[in-house]
Amino acid sequence: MNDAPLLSVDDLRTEIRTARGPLRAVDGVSFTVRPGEMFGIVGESGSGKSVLGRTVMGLYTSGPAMTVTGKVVLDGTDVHALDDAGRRRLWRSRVGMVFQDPGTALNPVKRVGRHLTEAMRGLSRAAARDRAEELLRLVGIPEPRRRLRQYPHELSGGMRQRVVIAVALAGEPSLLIADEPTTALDVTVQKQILDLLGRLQAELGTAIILISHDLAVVAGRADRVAVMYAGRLAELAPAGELFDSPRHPYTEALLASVPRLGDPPHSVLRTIDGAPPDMAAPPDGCRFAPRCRHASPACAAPPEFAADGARAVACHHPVDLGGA
Amino acid sequence: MARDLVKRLIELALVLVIVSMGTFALVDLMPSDPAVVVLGEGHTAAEYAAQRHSMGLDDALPVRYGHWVGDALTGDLGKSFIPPNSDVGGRVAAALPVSAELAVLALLMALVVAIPLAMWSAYRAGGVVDRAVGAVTFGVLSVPSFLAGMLFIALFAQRLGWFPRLEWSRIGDGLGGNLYHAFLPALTIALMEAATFTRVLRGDLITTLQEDFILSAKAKGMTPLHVLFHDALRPSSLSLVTLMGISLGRLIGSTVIVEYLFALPGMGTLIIGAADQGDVPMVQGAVLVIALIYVLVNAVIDLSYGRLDPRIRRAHV
Ligand SMILES: Nc1ncnc2c1ncn2[C@@H]1O[C@H](COP(=O)(O)OP(=O)(O)OP(=O)(O)O)[C@@H](O)[C@H]1O
Ligand code: SF4
Ligand SMILES: [Mg+2]
Repeated sequence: MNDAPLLSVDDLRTEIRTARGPLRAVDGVSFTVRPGEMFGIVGESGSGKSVLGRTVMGLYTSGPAMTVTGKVVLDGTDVHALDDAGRRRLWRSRVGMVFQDPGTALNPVKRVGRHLTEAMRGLSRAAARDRAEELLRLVGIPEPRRRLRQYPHELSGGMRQRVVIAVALAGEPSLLIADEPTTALDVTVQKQILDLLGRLQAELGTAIILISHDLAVVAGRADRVAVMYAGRLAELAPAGELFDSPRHPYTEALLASVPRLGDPPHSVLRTIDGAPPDMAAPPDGCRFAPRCRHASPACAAPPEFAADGARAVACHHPVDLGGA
Repeated sequence: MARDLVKRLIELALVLVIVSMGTFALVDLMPSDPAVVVLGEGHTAAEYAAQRHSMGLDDALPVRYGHWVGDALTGDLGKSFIPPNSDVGGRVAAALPVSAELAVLALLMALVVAIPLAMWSAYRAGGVVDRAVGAVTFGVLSVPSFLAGMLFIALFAQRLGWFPRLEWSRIGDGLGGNLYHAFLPALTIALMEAATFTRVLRGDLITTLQEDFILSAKAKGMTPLHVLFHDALRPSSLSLVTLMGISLGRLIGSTVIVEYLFALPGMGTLIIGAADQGDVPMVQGAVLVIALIYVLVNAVIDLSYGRLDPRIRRAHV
């Protein structure tokens, strides 16, 4: 694996214009993703993960509804400097997106085959169908030829999500952004879909950004994990190090709230006290301060996202290495 | 599917029975006395009684209804009361194509205008075009169609001389001439329909455009036009199609004012004239045919929902 990043995100900000005034859903986020890497992004609901994913992909750009600043470079291309046609070319061939709810991500009036073939260029009808069939086989759908003629509602949730993944893979992208790909699925199916993503990453060498509100989804699969809180990155670290020795108090609290296998049955689920801030009017200084048990007067100033080797953390009083 | 169809046909038959009863009873309530209409002024009481008897007016309402429907089922809608006592069926057959053509043409015109306008408005909701279209459609909806018709005649027919007025040319005499004559009246009718269609479709499109599958279509690099026509239009068209069904049936009978303005020999003219003269069989026959078309069109619309949305197809079986 070479070290030149496939994707680099630099001080990205997405400010959405809402009825209640501007809302900084993404507020100064920087990270890189290496070719073929599985990169996890974890954070509570509303922390800006979806907006981040969509802005990285260029689906959200500056316009009447929002303002985007900062830089996203994918494979040497500045995503937000492209014109509309250039961005469509990028989406057709370099980056794909897997959505949260496969029940709504497929058009109910279009057959599976059409979803797969309509973005293919320069292929005859028969060749496009063969390619679509191959894609369905790739994502582990049995009887692919028959599935091509079915409508989304005729498939189970898991099968639908496989179709969504196949659609995202159609252009042989070097990056796949999977935004909560298993949240809407049954527990048994969740693991199958995550295993599939892992297999695709290994077999095709596709880099994957795996977004989830659930640390357990990312654990054991991601190479590196970024923890997001209220529009900003709190911490970024290789997955193993993050789980073994969280440095940000928020990461620490998140880890403590994940039920462990060793917990006695029916033990009370630990959650983080307090609620995430109102994104339309976030607190000055560290946004986690109201919920942080390490908070001090210094935290009234926003902490810097400071890199230290392979890790980075945004906290004035990071948790000691080796555990608190 | 077959059972579904049988169920539909039974429903349809029931609706038709109710509609025909309504038509028959309604006209029976007309203030004029059919026997008087036929006899004219100056008749004796005996003549009057004999006439009533020969017309079957002595029979109870259900009996008369039975005779009428029985004849109608064999295609006989009776004869006009008014000399030359022409065949109702024949008169309706002559007037119907005019109204049907106007209605269909008007709907097509309305769609051609409404679909792109609604798409543009919805795609850039709240933008300049959206607000302009909103204002114009609102304005159009508040203009009665006779005013629009008079305006069109004054401008396009009289001042500019682009279109004829007070003439009709049948399709049989050449499509070009026919369309040329039908254009202005159809446009007059289309105006209000286009405004309604635009508003309804715009609203549904805005809802559809928020759906994940629209974003996922964009995310695989489809152009905005492709997304609008291939992804958004069909799921957004259920209300529009319903509305079209209602409009088509309604327009065939209610283009009266426009037919009158342009002196067109359509169903509106036929019914108004007949009602005015107390020509009961003519009114009954014409109204029955319109009701029949209305019911059939809407049955077809009902079936088309399954084509528009495959999820509905399954729900029916
Ligand atoms: N189109 C929009 N208009 C207004 N506000 C928005 C819009 N999209 C997102 N937001 C706001 O931006 C913030 C971040 O939303 P986002 O969907 O990115 O969160 P998330 O981390 O993906 O959460 P979830 O786990 O619920 O998916 C939220 O406060 C949300 O209300
Ligand atoms: S900066 Fe202060 S308040 Fe914020 S997480 Fe660190 S210790 Fe807690
Ligand atoms: Mg989300």
